[in-house]
Amino acid sequence: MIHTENLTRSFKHVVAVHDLNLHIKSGEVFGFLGPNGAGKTTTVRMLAGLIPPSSGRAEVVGFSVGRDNHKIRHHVGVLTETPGLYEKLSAYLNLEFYAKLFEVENRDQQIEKHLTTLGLWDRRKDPVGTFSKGMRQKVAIARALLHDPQILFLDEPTSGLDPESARTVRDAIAELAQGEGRTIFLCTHNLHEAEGLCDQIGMMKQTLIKVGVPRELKQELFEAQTVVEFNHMPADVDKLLDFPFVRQFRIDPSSLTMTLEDPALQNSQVISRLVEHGAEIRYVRPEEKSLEDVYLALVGEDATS
Amino acid sequence: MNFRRLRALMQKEWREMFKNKMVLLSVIIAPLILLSISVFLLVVFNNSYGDLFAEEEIIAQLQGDWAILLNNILMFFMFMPLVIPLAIAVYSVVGEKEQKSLEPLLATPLTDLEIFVGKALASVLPGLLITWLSFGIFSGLLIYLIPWSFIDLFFQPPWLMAMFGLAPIISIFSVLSAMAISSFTRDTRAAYQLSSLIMIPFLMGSLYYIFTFQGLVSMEFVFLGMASMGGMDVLVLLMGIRLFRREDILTRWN
Repeated sequence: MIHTENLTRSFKHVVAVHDLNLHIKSGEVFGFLGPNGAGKTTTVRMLAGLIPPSSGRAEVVGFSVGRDNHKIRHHVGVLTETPGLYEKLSAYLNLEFYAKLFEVENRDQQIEKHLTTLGLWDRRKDPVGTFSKGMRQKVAIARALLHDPQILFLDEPTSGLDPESARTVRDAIAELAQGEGRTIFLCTHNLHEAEGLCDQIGMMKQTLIKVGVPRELKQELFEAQTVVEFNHMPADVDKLLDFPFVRQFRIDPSSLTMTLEDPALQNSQVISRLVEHGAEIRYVRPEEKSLEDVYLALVGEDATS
Repeated sequence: MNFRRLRALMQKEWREMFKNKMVLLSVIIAPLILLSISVFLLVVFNNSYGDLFAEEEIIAQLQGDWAILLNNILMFFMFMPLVIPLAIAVYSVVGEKEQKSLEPLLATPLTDLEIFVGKALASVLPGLLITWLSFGIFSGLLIYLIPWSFIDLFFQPPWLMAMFGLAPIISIFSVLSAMAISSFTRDTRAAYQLSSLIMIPFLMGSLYYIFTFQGLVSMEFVFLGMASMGGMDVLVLLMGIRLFRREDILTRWN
């Protein structure tokens, strides 16, 4: 559905995107992560047929990026970071305008369907200038879907929204992802959002640093760790951990985090010894690494600041 | 060029115009003022000379004064296509910037040329229609305000050529210049102020014409105006096409 080879885009002397290689299958929800200025928006603009690449090649829905940009724009929907609606016009008139530009058949039915799905049909006649940020973003989502695009590009869809609005928008995206087998390309800073919605994640900083399924990325980057939480911790715990298979451990006031060679086999041995020496254990659980940990490990601490 | 998309864009521009009081007032007030001044001048002139109109020999003497008056009024009508579409053209560009609606618009199948032509026509057409409507109202009032023997001075070919040939060219110049200027600024007020500067050369030309041209306006004079304004139209058109490139709009307009 989306295939790029060494896709590069420069603006004068600044390289915004360098040698990007991507392969995104039909129906996949692809999360595109990266710090500000990493080239995410430039990538979306290239893939959505808004600007041509400086070098490299890309195909989107079978059309060549750059050469067939006009055709690509017929087949993709774009949700920009800001809704970009005509504030004095009603939600209905905003959508009607775009439906005409995309020459949508059954225009009225399509508008009604999307506004109803997003819970805005009753407000269709109100100027969008009177809407909350979340409602505007929903109108913008409806706009991006009007012509039933094969690929939906979402650029920071929940940026600047309050938690409640962000959640309604996220729910709307989740429904889209599950529903119609549409390919979704989601640019986001929100790692929790990406983890919840995406089948595959790409981390970007001018070029693609890493791409993969979130769970596999965590396994690849971090060794499995076991956390033991105590009601009572025995004295000299460090001496009790002198097994040859204990690679690393960290002792906190009421917990122990350890890295074992094979946790599934060796956890019980460690726990038994601890209990024998008077430990009262509250929980034993695997240490969960978040996508944020993966992101920080790959992109760097400075990216989040 | 897809005319359905072009029509959709123009329709959207007009809907926005009707919802924007500032733009709507600018479009209505300018022709109202210019039309009122024109009618006022006619009434004053008529009141001063009205009782003499019956006398044939005096009519001949008055024709020189009429020529000056009519030339001034023609100037007012030539200002309309310059002033009226200015506000619409400025808002059509700055409004998109303010609402951050350019990127979604550029993500549609609209071509660069369709965006440029659609926005230009959406500004030019109302300007011209209002100018011609004002001219129609003025012509109607004229029949009641001045004697029949003078009406043929007014409906001369140069006047009609100015209204239907020169006015569109002036309107196109006004719109394209305002769109070009607006592409450089995000602030509406600054865009209006800068765009109004395009009236200065036109104003200077008009003053020169009013103070030096004592006879009735000739066809040659109208053709000269059309040629010079047409040349300027070509220049601003070339500039506009360069400015309205998708990539430049996305990356350089701010």
